[in-house]
Amino acid sequence: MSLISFNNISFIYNKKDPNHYDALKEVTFSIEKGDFIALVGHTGSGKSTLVQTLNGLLLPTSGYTKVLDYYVTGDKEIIKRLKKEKNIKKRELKRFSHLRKEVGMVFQFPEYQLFSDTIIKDVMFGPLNFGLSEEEAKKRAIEALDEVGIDYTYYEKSPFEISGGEKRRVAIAGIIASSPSILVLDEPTVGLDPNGKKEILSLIKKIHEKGTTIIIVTHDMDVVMEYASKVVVLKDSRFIKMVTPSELFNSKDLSNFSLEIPSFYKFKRYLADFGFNKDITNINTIDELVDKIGEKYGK
Amino acid sequence: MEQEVIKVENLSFSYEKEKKILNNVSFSINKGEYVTLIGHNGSGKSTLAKLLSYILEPNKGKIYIDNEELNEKNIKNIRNKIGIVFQNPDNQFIGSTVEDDIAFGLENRNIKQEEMKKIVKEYSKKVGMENYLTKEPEELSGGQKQRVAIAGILALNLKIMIFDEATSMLDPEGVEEIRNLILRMKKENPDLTVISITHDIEEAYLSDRVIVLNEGKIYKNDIPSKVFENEEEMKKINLDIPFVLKIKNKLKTKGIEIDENIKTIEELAKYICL
Repeated sequence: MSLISFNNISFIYNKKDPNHYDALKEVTFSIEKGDFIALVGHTGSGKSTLVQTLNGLLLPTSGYTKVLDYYVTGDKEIIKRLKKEKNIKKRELKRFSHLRKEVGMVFQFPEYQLFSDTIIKDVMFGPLNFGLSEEEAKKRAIEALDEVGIDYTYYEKSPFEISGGEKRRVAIAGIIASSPSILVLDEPTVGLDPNGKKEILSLIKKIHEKGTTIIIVTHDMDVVMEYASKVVVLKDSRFIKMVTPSELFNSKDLSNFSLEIPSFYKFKRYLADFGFNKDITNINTIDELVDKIGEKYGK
Repeated sequence: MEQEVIKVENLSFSYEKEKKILNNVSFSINKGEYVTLIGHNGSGKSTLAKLLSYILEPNKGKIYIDNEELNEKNIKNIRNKIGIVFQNPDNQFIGSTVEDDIAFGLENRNIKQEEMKKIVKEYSKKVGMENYLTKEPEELSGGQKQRVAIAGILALNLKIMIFDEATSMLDPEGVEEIRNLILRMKKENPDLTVISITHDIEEAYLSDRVIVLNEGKIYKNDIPSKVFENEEEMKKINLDIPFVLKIKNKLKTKGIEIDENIKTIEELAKYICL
């Protein structure tokens, strides 16, 4: 059984407003345990709405999102059915505190949400909130800070006196301190320099390697290419496809989704357009491509 | 003769007692040049940006802008020569609509309503925002907001524009929008001097000259093809090299030389195929 499944979900903001707008339309797909999913699509394609159904921040207007054993839905018909068929009580369908511990959410510019006067207190907030003792929460916070590479000399510093990249790592520590089994990150690399970006990504990779399922919303196709095991494409509130990164970048319809193509694939595409006389369809690394160009020059 | 519009002389900066963030930095920029300033986190580039925009004052050394020393006495006058586009597109949108925002700087200049409308229209067109004049900031993407900020500065007809990491909060589409806009701006007005503090190495590759900062000092100051010549050397200071150059370097080891003027992916592919 899948870890997460979106079952024909639609979401309408301001349903009563005559000009209401469907942020999601009949989306169906599933995610397996251990996946590293990149969710891509143009601004307004529904990415952020979709991930917010994962921990009940938003309830699908119709259909349901199933995460672990939880059903997330605002669809009255489905609620009725769940009560009858699975004997689930209505109030259980609205109790998301445990789900929020399992699904960690890192929003855009998470450093803006830092608020405590010391870093350690900020990271302890989540575990304390989920009912751990002060002592246990501190232990978890230290482990999480260790994981993101923030050492003890920082614990008593204010989160406002550290660099942008460090702030973001502290914010992520605050989420992973609750040991979620699923980690969702909305544009985690925006606004960081290449170095800061690399740090955050290798951190996410490390968390993934420990068994956490990762869902990352991103515009950065280099991130997709290098880190994701699968890419989900959304367009105009609909699910388009779920493929591997190289399948996505080699496909001809890529430009229909307003996605920035990584330099390597852009180059491949231009070569084909200008009539490059070697077959490069299945080439996926720079060195292989350079070898093919060399062949053309007889080298 | 080349006319110097910015001169930085033996500039040093540190916060109290801490290690020097900038250490005896000197360089100059000529009229009409497009210079990019790059360096990894902690190289001192954001501090240099703050000094150039007079948000910070140097501990030692001087900055001259158009032959005037940048100090409290001259700042008012200098602000009439220099426009700055900052990092966060939300913090610099002052007007309630695109139109208001572009007009904001002009309002202090005693320009007739009629004339102002014309100017706003003209400059919104230059940045490709002429169809958004009545839009509010909430309806715009980050890249669009930055374009509005640029229009507002262009409308004032200043001599120098500083981009202080103006694309680092934008998505890739926005980064490319601004990259192209700067090039177009420069083409239309060759006398405009542009300094862009950036971590977009693709942008640096397209500029006239690149200044690389590392640990508070100038590491390189040269044309892009020279600065990015040695990939290993750049990696040592945590900087990557542009994609086109990466391919060129690899081809070079095979004995294939590509024309130096080829700078974009499209040009490179065309060159190889023809």
